[in-house]
Amino acid sequence: MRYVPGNAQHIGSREEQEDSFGFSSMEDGGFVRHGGFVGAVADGMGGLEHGREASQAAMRAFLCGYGRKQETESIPEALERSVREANEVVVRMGRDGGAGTTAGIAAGSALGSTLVAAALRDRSLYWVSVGDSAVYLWRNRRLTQLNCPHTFARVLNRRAAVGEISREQAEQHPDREALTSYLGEPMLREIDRNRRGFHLKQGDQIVVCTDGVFKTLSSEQMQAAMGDSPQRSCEALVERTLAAGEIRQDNLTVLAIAAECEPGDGEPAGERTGEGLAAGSTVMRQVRNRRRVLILALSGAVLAAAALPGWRAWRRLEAAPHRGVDTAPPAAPQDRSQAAPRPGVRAAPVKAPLAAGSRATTSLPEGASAQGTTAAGTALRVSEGKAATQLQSGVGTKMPKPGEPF
Amino acid sequence: MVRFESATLSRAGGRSRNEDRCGSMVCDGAACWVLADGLGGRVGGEIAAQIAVDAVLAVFRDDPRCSADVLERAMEEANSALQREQAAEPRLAQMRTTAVVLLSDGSSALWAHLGDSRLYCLQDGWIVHRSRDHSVPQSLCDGGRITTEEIRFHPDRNRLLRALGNASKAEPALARDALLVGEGDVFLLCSDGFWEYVTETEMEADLACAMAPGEWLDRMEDRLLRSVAADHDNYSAIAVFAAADRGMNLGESSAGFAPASGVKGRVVKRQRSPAGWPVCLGFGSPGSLAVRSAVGREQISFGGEVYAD
Repeated sequence: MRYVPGNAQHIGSREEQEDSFGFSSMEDGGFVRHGGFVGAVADGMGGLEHGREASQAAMRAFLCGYGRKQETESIPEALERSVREANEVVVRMGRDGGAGTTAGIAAGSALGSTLVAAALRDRSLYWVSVGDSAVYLWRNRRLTQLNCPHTFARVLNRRAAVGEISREQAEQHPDREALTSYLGEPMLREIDRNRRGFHLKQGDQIVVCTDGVFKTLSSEQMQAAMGDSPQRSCEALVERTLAAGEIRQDNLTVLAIAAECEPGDGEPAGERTGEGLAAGSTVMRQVRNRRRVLILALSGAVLAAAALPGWRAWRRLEAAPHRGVDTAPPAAPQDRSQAAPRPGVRAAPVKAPLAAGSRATTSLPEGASAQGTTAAGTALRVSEGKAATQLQSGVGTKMPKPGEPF
Repeated sequence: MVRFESATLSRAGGRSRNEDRCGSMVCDGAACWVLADGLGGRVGGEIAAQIAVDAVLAVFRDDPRCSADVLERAMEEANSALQREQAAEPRLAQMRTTAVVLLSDGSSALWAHLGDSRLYCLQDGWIVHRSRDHSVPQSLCDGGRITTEEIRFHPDRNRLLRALGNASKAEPALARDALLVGEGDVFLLCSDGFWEYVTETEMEADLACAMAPGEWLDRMEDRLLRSVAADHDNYSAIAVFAAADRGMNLGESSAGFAPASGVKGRVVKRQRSPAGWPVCLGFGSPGSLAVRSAVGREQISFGGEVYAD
């Protein structure tokens, strides 16, 4: 199986991007053989403090945790352990306060983030989810949500089903959207995951996204945005969400990973895929599907213009002292008038007026496939912040930069 | 030989009455599960469903074998019982019900159905069989006029071509050749109020998460409740997991299921229905008999030794 990722992100009408996302490294073929390829998104809880830092820390800890997976550990075990490690990091950051780039976080802060990740290996999919971010399967032109969101609505619906409350009471309950589980509580309440691999078919796409997408678009609208190209699917989902014109549009982040069978599936790939993937022109050669090449070439010019701010963000990241994990600059302090959330539930997301000038969507050049045939470092990279984007693939130190001509 | 663990879900949904009935029985090393959906819009839907469930279980109790012959007689007896009751009680003359029945002796399985209650069989996480509804939309689908997916919510979906309670003989769709049951095989019996809201892909996805039949039903019920309209139909489902009668490998590549928590060698029931719902009867020792009708939510499991040679 060959995995083709895509991604897009937008700040919506918020002051700050509180979503983070990341992919696992594809450089270490040995790791990819047992760990597969992972894409994840985290949505910092705006109703709590420092949503941005919380989601960044959670994403970093999750991907680093997954990168420590050994061959003897199963993928579901590794996903769960990584989620628990991410939770510990968020809890600790809230309890002890931040340091370095997160020094603005005072000890005793309430932090929270969702996290949802999809791991693909061979023909199997494993997901793990905490909170209300979503993982979908795109198959036969239909989107099916795979995870069960941790919202209070589920509890209310059940109460209504057994007659404890009326359906109207359940539907009009003010805390319907509140989260019943999220990263940031000492005891992680619920983890949604599959223990047995979910079988993938040729042409399936896995879509991972934050609620900024599916709370604005209906499932029909989301389905209409999907296409054969995972990158194009992500961009279309972001475009359609923004076109819906929600005045208080939440941050939105979408990842899509297409699963494609290849001849000799399960055997070592006959063609070296790593060489020169860092160079945009080589990406083209990796793409076997001519049609996709055309789409890519056409969209490349558009992306070059659209992703300029993203590239700037990347340049900032380049200058950051960290290696292995990149972080965005610390966020400016924000006024937080929101009341503290009730235990166990997530406060309503902070709404903000429409920001002047929208931020660019970010993108990932397509064709960066998840064939791990080369051995290199296992460093995992986290992408986050306003328009930063990255995916490591192949040999080389960096993935293609957004905006760079293909 | 496999051991089975099963769970049952049946609720009124957005209606005032639940006209679905579920029942199961373990007897002499064989098991029978039956689900009936009394037809709405007629007097006595729930009575028809109850008569059908009772009649099927009564036939199985007298002849607890996994055979096509037993299945056929069970359906025929259910039909006759309905006709007798219709004759005795004129106001019930129009009552009708669907029915779907699963039989297994631990090594093979057989099923039959009438109407639009369905049986799904899943192996290795995939749906490998779905019963074909006796309904107008299914016929349209068979004729290539609509897709399988369009059967759901089709305007003619309430028009059934066959049901129990008609004056003629029951004509159940019946599997003549038994399916060999293996570890990891899963069966789902469900009424249309259930399968309309839970797609096949969702069934497979939720199964990948569930280690026990009750957990699987819980997840699917959550989905259903997320998408139903206010006046949605009664919904019922019986989930049956076949697991090897030994410790399971729960690794990622395993298609097995968690060992049932039931005491080995005894037929054990675990009851998880919400407070206030009728509690079903317990089971006795191996080989003994138990009859139940399920309302609300409950689980049973029975150990492999009832099947011991």
